[in-house]
Amino acid sequence: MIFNIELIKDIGSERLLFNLVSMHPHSFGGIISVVDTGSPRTIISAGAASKLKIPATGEKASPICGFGRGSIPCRKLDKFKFIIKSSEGKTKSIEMPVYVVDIPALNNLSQEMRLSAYQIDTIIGLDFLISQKMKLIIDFNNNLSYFEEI
Amino acid sequence: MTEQEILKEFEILETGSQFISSNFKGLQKKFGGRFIAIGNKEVVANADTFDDIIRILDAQKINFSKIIIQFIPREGEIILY
Repeated sequence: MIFNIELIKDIGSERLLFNLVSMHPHSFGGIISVVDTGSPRTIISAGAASKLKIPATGEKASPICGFGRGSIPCRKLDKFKFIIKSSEGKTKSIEMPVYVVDIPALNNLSQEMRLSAYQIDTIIGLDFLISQKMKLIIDFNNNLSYFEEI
Repeated sequence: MTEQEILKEFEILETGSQFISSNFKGLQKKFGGRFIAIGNKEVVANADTFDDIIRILDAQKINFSKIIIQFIPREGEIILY
């Protein structure tokens, strides 16, 4: 199965956007994420965690360094449930560990840190490719990008 | 959630992400450095902070489950994660 990725091709703003729907208990809703092969981990942003009320109840993880300005507090959710949609319109349920920005801890930080944290998108990291046995195709010149199950 | 509700959610996401990718430069010119709320292929609200945009949507009684909230970087600004 192929899962399409939306390309932003504007020079200096190139990005890969990938849609997913959270099925986490009491936290149903859509998230537009950024595919980031430089990130080892998938991280649910402050905005998504706040909007969908995704609880930061898991084990406290080391603050995410190099994620925004300074370190952003986060927790590990051992089983985050979400759905992705294939190019043929079929849905696939996924359950995998992710990191989620710890909103209560973030609220104790300075206004500047909070502003910075909320500017950062949800990130799909390399752990998604590995755990879901996906390969990633990026062909900017032909306006084509997708995940494909191996 | 039913399959229909999930597919509806994807429809909202796809419309939103296509709107962002097709209009990114224009959005940067108009809203660079701000949070925007997108609903049905238009920007329905914008604000300096995430909290403010939630407040605006609440005040306008907009159901933000059908809204996409996105930060738009300023022109020339590169966000490194």
